Amino acid sequence: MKGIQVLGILVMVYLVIHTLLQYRRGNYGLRRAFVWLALWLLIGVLFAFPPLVELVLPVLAMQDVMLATLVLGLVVVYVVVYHTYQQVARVERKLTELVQNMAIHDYVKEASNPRKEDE
Amino acid sequence: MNSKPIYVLIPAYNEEKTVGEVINGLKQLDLNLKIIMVDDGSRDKTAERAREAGATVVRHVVNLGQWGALRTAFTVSLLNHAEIVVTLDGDGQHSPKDLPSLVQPLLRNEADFVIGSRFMNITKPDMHTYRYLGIKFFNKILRLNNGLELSDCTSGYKAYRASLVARLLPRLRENQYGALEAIIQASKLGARICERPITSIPSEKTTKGTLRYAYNLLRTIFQLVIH
Repeated sequence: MKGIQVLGILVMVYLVIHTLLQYRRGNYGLRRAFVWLALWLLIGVLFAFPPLVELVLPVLAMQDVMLATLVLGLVVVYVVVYHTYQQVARVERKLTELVQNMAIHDYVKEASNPRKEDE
Repeated sequence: MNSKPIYVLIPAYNEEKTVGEVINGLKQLDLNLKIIMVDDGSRDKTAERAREAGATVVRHVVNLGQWGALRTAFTVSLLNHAEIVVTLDGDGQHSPKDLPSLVQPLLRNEADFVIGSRFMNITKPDMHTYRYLGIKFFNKILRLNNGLELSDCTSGYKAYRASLVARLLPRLRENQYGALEAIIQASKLGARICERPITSIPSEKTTKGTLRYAYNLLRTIFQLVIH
């Protein structure tokens, strides 16, 4: 087994443990934990048995195992980055709405019940 | 002059040193004004200073950005059935004395959206050359993209017809870099847009003119194009 394989497997083991801990703490639901665990396990298995990548070479119309791995990895990274971007944008929109609604709610409340010093 | 109040909206973030002066300057005008200051999560005494000076204060619990604050202020002005709305910065860079000439085109029903331009009728602007060239660049983009002939598209001193604001508000998304978004969306809505000259006192605090500001304006335009 090559050094890079050992390093890859160790990183995946760390990510599996991290995901399980997040699930145990209630930060991840069952579905989210399952998706991440499946991804880490799949990548871990590919690190342990690189020839498995050869199975998808004909589908990708590629000959080089290393290049195919890199391309697949990049595709996964693109998907994760895009998903994260969407999530951040959604959270920012929600936060903005919440802050603005709170401000307007307080304004309406104060306008209907003016403070004594303003009277 | 118009008997209905003109709503003056001031987004402010940590402007305790200048906001009171801005509000007092506005109150000296012989106009029926309602001044609404949105304290955008300031950590200093901006809200207190504005309230002491006689403005209505609306508070954000966290900082959203200039246009996030303006959207809140727009909503408040619409709740009050405003007809004319003016926006200006709380850092003292806009002179309240320019307000009457800014709202004139609205009162005469010659425009729906008036932009206060720092570059009309002057030859040498009082700002860094790179910043001036940046503004000229964005003016050109608006001319190419929307056919608008503007000299100061990033100005924060603007007057709007409230009926335009009501249609514009659901289309505004930006929290910080909304200057061009507002102009482009108003143009798409068929608003009559014009400029009036204003005087401007350069603010040391402004982030406008930085590369980040320019990048975000470009991003806003790109997002509007792909939408």
